[in-house]
Amino acid sequence: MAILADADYGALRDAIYRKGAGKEELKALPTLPNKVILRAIFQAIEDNVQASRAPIKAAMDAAAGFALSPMLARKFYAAYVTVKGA
Amino acid sequence: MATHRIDILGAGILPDSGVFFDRIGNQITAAVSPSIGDLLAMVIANVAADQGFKGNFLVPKNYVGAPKIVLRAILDGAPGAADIAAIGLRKRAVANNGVADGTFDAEEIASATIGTNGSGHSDEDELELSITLTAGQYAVDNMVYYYFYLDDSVATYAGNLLVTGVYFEYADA
Repeated sequence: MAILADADYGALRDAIYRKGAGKEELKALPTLPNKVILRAIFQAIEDNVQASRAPIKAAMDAAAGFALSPMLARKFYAAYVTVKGA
Repeated sequence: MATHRIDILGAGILPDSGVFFDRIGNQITAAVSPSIGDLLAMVIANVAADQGFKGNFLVPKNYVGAPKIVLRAILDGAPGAADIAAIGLRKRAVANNGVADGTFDAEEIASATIGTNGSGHSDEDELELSITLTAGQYAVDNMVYYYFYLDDSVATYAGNLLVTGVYFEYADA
């Protein structure tokens, strides 16, 4: 668990904002979460990475300020694993 | 006096790491061809650091003043109500026989609230943003070496900007 560095956030944002990796789900939201919220969602994963699935999802929802769809939550987690490792 | 815009996206531009050219149709679900999906754009996003490209252009012979840098791009992602898009420019303008090397001048930036609290832009809308530059720093036939970027210090919008043009605007006599 650590505070995500700017470079981490940049790589994580790029990892999820790609077709097939989460972009469709993000663009389907009424508004795209801003930079602060995206970063907070990834930070929630980082902070709970050793927890089980439900607490991670709850932390992500809290960071987002709304309930992420299961698919979008999975794609955030997949982007996290891609950049930071499992 | 007339106002002119010249395209400064020349062949010699160098994108930052993470900035790339792509078919717009690879980034958005575009309308049936022919449409903007068939065109090329430079994909730039705000990723917790300034991100853009470096290049150069020559100040035209009929330049008199009122310089601006103008961005034209397509938004890829619906901005939140208060989301801000921001751009910046650092440059070094050099006359013939001038010293070309040197750290670029301090940044000049522009920003705008692009969501419903401001200009009311939506996903995949055309966006124009312009930076008003310092007139006295440019002269006819100056070579302007520059770094143009999305300015991280102000921006909150997290979507891509699909950049289709960056222009030097100026007034003639």
